[in-house]
Amino acid sequence: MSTPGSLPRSFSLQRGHLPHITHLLWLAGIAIAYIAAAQLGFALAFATKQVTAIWPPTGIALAAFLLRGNRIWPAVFLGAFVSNAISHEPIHTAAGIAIGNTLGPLCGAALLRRIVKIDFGLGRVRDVLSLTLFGSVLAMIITSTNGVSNLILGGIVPLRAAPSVWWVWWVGDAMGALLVAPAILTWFQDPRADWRGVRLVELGLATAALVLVSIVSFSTELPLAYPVFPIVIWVGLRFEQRETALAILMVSAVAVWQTAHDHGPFVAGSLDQRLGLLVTFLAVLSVTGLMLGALAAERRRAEASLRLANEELESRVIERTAELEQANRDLAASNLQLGFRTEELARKNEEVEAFVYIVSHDLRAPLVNLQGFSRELELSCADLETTLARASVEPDISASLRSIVEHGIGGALRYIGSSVSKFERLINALLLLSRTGQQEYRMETIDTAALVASTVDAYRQTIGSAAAVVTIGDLPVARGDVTAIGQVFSNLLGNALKYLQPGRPGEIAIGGATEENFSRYWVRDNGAGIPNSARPKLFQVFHPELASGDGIGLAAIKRIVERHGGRIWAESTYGQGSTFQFTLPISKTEQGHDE
Amino acid sequence: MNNVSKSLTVVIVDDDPGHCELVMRNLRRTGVSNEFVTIHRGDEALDFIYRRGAYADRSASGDILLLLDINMPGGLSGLDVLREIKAAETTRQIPVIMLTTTDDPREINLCYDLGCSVYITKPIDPAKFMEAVTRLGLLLSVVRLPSENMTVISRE
Repeated sequence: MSTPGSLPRSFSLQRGHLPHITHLLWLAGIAIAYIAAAQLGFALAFATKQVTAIWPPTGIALAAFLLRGNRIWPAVFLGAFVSNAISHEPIHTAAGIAIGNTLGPLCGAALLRRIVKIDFGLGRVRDVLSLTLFGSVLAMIITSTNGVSNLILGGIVPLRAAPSVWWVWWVGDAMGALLVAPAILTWFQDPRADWRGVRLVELGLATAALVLVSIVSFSTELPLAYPVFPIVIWVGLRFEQRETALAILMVSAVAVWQTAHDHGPFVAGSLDQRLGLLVTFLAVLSVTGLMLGALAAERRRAEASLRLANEELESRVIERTAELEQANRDLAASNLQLGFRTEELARKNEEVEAFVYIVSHDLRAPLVNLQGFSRELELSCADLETTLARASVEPDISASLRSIVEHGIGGALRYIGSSVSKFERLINALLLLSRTGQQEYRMETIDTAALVASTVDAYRQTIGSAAAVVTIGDLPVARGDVTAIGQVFSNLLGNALKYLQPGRPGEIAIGGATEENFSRYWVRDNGAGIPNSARPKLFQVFHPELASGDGIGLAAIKRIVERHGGRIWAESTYGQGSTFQFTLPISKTEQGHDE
Repeated sequence: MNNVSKSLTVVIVDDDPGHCELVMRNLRRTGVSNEFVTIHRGDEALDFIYRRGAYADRSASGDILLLLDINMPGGLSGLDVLREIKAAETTRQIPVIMLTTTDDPREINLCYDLGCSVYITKPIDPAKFMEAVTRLGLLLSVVRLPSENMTVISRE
């Protein structure tokens, strides 16, 4: 009761010294139950009062110590003392016996609580086994040894009778513990009477069967003790341990009662033989029934935990599935968004290209004027010079005027002219690129080999004058616009020819290979190669080489290849040659999005 | 070069006065001595052809050759002018030479479909410009334009 660690010391001491009223009630209850059970035990005694097959008070004492702890010892001691005193033992003998009858169950209970940590519901096989071994077999060695000692010391039993009396004493106590304690423990653990419907009917049937079979079995002298087994097993498998324990107790009571009154299968032979038969039967019945009950309970628990695990798994699966579905929906939404973006981007791209087209186109008109009137100025200057030659002007003035016309005006016009030319090249590049982007494609399967053959043929003259050798390898088919792809090959071949290394026989190889979903093509030359500095800007619009006017330029062919859903890149070693490669889709599905 | 019919009036329709001037000068240089009229808007070009508005009291004698730009501000483009002239019975015979900066094949085809006689792209390069205008002058010199029944200059 005292908890000195957490309560004020005075308070805890006070509580410790004054037993609580409930505790007193418990003590009284246990003592009365003990005495009553002792009377029952005497009533069940065979022939003489010392020989009892079952000594119920021991079971009550063991259960009381297990349920309420060591502190109820006074009740057990008092019960035992009073019971023995009533049966006309001398006072000191009764007290001596009471000491052992208290100590035995106390030790058994301590062993079960401390070491086994017994479950009062006896729901595990180990609970049943340890209750049998520690609570019954071992603990009752104390009570019987002590009891017999006191009887001998009191001169009530002669020494030579000691082994027989000890045996009978031990058997009675052990059986009391084994048969009575489980019923008390299990019902205290779960006192609910919660049978409903079919269960209640089943319980009623089992009880009726048990009562009927018990009475019949233990009323005849035929060896019919065993028909109760299936019924106890039935209860053990189908009900909880409390029902099983009660069923065993009931059968035991009938069996002991009938045997004590010379009925039933166990009445043959001597008193010791009777006792032996009866006790063996009861022990086997009890251990079997409780073991089966424990196994059934363990199985039920395993099933329940499995079911719980299954349910948890199921709910987790549902949860995960929901998460996955959500993720899928999110993904679909992102995909949709991406689709919109791609469309928007394609549209923007078209807008930009249209804008570039209009702007570059409009920029041409003023350029026509700039160039045209520069030309007019040049012509005027020529006229001026002619007029000057004809006019009679002072030589130094004439020279000065000539210088002004030739160097001043003429120089300025040359700068204007070259700038306008450059401007024009840039505009042309822009126009070409925007036109490449806007051009409508007619997608078909391209006979690349035929296309390249005709492209090379178109360059026949250039190839001849450059004394170059063009070899054509395998060329797989591809899907695309034949005109646009022709421009790509034409441009790459044109570039290769244009940048051949002077003084080295030109070798140009055109080939292709089939990749997984793409056809890959290359145009390889042994020409001048691309300086490192030029590489990053190779495919840009205003690349200087590109704006020079011939071909449609690398920026434009990159646009063509990308609109087809392909890729273009260049590898080059400066001074040794370049390889331009590009891919084109083979099947319809790999086409560019803006086709 | 001088055998271009004197009664032929060359009407240059271009929103850029500089372009009009350059075309005129270069044509003169090639020997074309016809009367030139420069107009900067599409609707004015139609006014001239149909003798209305500012050109209501224009002399009806003589023939017209139209040098027509495409991109012009003010509502009517060169294509609109071309379409209207070629749609009307009385003016269908007027030879129209498209002279523009556009080298877009779609535009070129459209102009021929509408009935233009020649399509010439204005080159920026003055030498090429000169060359183009010289060709134009040559073209004008071989054109025979009966006053009542003009010959349509064949396509190139």
